[in-house]
Amino acid sequence: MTDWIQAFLHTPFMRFIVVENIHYLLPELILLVTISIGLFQASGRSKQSHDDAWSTALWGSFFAIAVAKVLAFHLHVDPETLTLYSTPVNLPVFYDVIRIDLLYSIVRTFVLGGTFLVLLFSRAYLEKHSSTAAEFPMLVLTASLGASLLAGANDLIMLFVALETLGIPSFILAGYFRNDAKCAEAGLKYLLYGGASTAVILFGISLIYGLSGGYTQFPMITAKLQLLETTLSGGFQPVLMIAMVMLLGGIAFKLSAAPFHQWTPDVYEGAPLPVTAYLSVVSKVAAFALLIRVCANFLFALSPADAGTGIAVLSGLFVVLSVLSMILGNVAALRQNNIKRMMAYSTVAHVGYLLLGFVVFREAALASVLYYLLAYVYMNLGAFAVITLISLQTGRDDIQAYSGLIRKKPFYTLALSIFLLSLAGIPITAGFFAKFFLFQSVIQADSNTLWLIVLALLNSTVSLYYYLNVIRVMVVNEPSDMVQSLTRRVDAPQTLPILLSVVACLIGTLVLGFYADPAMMYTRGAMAQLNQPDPTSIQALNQEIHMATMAGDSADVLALPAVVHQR
Amino acid sequence: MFDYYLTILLILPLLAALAVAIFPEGENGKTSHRVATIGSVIIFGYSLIAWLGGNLPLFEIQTWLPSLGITYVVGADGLSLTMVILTTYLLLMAVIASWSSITKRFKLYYSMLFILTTAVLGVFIARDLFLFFLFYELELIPMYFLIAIWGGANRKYASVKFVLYTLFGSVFLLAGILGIFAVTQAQGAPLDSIFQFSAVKANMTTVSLGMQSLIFVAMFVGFAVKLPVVPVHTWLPDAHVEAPTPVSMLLAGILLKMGAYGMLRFCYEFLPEAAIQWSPWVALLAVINIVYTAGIALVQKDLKKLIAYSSVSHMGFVLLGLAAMNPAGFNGAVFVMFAHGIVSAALFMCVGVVYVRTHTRMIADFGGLGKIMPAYFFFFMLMTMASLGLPFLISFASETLVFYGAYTSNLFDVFLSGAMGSMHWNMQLATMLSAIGVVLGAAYLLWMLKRVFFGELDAKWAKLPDLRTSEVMVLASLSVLVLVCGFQPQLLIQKFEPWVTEMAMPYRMFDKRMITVGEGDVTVTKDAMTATNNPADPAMTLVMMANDEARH
Repeated sequence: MTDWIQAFLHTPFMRFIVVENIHYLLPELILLVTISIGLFQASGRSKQSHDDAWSTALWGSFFAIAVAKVLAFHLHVDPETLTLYSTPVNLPVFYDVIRIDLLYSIVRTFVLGGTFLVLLFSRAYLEKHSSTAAEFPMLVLTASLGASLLAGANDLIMLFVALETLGIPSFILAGYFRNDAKCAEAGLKYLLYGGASTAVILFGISLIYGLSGGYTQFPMITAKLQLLETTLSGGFQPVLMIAMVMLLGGIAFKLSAAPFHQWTPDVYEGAPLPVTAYLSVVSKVAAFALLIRVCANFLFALSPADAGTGIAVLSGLFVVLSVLSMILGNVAALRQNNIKRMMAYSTVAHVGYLLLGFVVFREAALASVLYYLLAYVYMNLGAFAVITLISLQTGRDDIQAYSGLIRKKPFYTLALSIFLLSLAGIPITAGFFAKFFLFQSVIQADSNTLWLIVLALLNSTVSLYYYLNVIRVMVVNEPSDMVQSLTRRVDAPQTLPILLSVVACLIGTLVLGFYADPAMMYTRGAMAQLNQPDPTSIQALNQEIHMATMAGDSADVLALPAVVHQR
Repeated sequence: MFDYYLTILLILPLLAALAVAIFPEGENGKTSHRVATIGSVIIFGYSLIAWLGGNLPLFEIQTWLPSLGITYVVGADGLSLTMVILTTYLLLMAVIASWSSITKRFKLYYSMLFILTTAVLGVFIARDLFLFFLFYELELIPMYFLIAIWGGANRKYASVKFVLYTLFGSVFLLAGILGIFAVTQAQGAPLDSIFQFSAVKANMTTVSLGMQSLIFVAMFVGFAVKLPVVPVHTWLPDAHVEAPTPVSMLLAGILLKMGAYGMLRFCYEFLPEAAIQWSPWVALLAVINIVYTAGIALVQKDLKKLIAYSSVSHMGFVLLGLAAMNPAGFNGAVFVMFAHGIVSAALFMCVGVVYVRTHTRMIADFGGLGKIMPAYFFFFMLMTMASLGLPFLISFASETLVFYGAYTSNLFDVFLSGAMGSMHWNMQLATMLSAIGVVLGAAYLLWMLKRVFFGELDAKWAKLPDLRTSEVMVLASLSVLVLVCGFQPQLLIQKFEPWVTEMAMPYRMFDKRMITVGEGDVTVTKDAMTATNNPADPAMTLVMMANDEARH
């Protein structure tokens, strides 16, 4: 038996897989297989075949997250010293198109975990809206495949392919209920805005491609940019500036950072609830991972002393995006009656807080951003799960429908209250720690940001008003007739998966609220790794320039040894 | 068994909350009342162990989030213990007062009350800035619900206002905490203890005066909302008027003390130099607090609002004691905190008693109640007298101490000169102005007594029953304290005096300094050190010779 396994492991194919590190992509492969099988099953007409496809999707995403978790642990634990993140893996896959590192493995678990939770609570909702077809989970899984790869993209082309793999299914999902006018509007709006932003991103990518002299891999581009900065024309490249503004603008659309947020409330309101949850969590996390990687490679790697004005301008752009998002998001959320719209604006506000972490261009701040994202996955998905549960039973999305819910559904009320308080940043929840760490790390990096922090804190004061308003309606108000008619008995079996996801998010929110240290260690490790120079790329670049020198080509090669030694 | 005394003290109220939630409410909440009462008796009894001098290890330290410099540190010195005993005692009183004044949703009510207790106790015994802030924020939510669910007609407005004001204050508090973090880390303070009080106190001594001053202001504003200090005090009357009686008792009795406690600990213990720099302004705020709100109280028509404003006025004495910056002033401030906790709780109880019976709080609706409710009259009268500072009652002792401290304080003397003439702004003047507040206090309280208890009795109140047993229990128990601490203040003061005096020690090394404001020649007050500053500078200039010497 063991011989057989040994023989199998030593086949050229398996060797290829292990040598090329392809086994680290197992979660994505599982998703791919799941989608293939699921689509095959879903092509049947009977309800049974669609049910089968649904089960396939659920199990597939479960295995994907499970394997991703195992791989994540495998990446982090050093077997000799048994310490975390001491020798983080940093492996290229497929000729360095994808980079397996801590950032990737962390964000992948966020994305796949979020996907699994969303799938858990979407089925009952869709059935309630008489849509049993199994295209839905397949679309979600496809989008997640893109989101997951986006987190690991280490190449401009891979970045774009992953972005589109995430984007296109999302457009379809946003308009999933074709016959519903609002939903169709949401789909179209998302498509138009999303398409435009993708075009802008593409433009930025093309500029960077040109600037790098024909490289698509991030480490090569980084090395080239550093070279350009220190030796060639000197200083920060204006073209890089334009390219970064383009990339930043495009990503800001995806993040729905103000002033690029206009599509958000309409899309969130029109889209089916699980899709709203998906868009506000999974695709935001993926977009933030992209932003982190782009910034780490194209900005932070440059030496800030030389970069001077260009960096300062970009930092100012982040400040503008962050401040506008915080203020617009929170102020607009104050007046919302529909809970989906309120959550949309609350998402905008949270994106504003998160963008604060980019203002100072420091790893520690980005680590806090990553930690915030983890907290955000739990608390926002949890809130959406409870909102779905309530919507299933009342069929309404306006906040007034929640009147006196505590009398009939104490658990829902408690759970939603905890999630909302966490979003508002009240201890002892994940959201409180996330905010605290973020602000702490930003101010630690640069104490001139104190005014920004105070602004963010004032904003979270404002946000408590509308979160608390929902809680007040649930707890303080007398029950409405509709709530009175709800039964108190245990819910139908179809809501069980939803409850499961609520409980999972609740545990996450509270555990992170009590004990944040390990997660913080992971995220810090991830960021420390991101900023390390990549010897292989520098070597490759050296090699190339050496060749060019041999050919008697370039004049600026003289300065090169200094660069290489400096790194 | 008592190795984790303080942690258990924090957990006990949570267990009580759980117990209340588990047991059924019973008929009219009878079971809930009983469980809550037993719980609060246990909590009070438990806290008495340390108070009565059991030789306990009152300091616990536990690593919590080492990578961020956050430690679970709790400890209790005399000041903390005084606040803890006040909290647990008033909790017991509030629970007994709830028997008659709470009529719905008992489980939720008592759970919130106990969670609130944990948060408040946490604030008083935390020995780590982060932990302190965590508990400080945690207190918001239960208090919000206590006002929003069991409050009066306008409860929605009042509760939201309470939360937003307090959170607004917390913003500045958190900014101050992050400021301390950033500054001390830049100095190379080790991360693993950076938030601990002892480390902060040591680290802050080497921070530049400008930064200290900035942090002082941030923290002062943060706690000023809670205290409350005049421009940001408007949430308090609203919250008091809407809150049910027991919640009002806790609000006035303990929650305001969190602000005063925080000010004493952070602004005055950690940042003595900045405190001296800002002391003229603090003294000014204290005088405004005392006199202005006493004036407002004079014209109130609502009994509860009157007590609420008198509450703000009395907190001004705490501020005055702090501004004095000497042992007598600090001890007096802490004593006023305790005294006000007892007296204002009793006064709110008294208002609640009459409100439960008549469903009105308008002073004009009453008159002649003394004839039909003699026991009530007795207690109300006693508490009013205590509040206006009658000798041999608790407030007299405490306010005298504050006045003594303030009058003998000479840490600043601002000479103001301008076209209108010139004057000195110093603690002596502040003390004299504050005395107006005492006179006003006597005026509004006695006038209120006259209108409520004397005169013609309205026929519709002829059948009002006198105090119930539970009400007598609360009022009698509070009265005993008022009398005992009035006759023997030393019994109480000795519990916190060594620690509070220690806090005032850094101020001993500073000499009297002079501040000039306005145009004209430099004027050197007779005992100021040589002052040579730019006479033409219209802005405030500081002469800090002693300080500079100490620095070099």
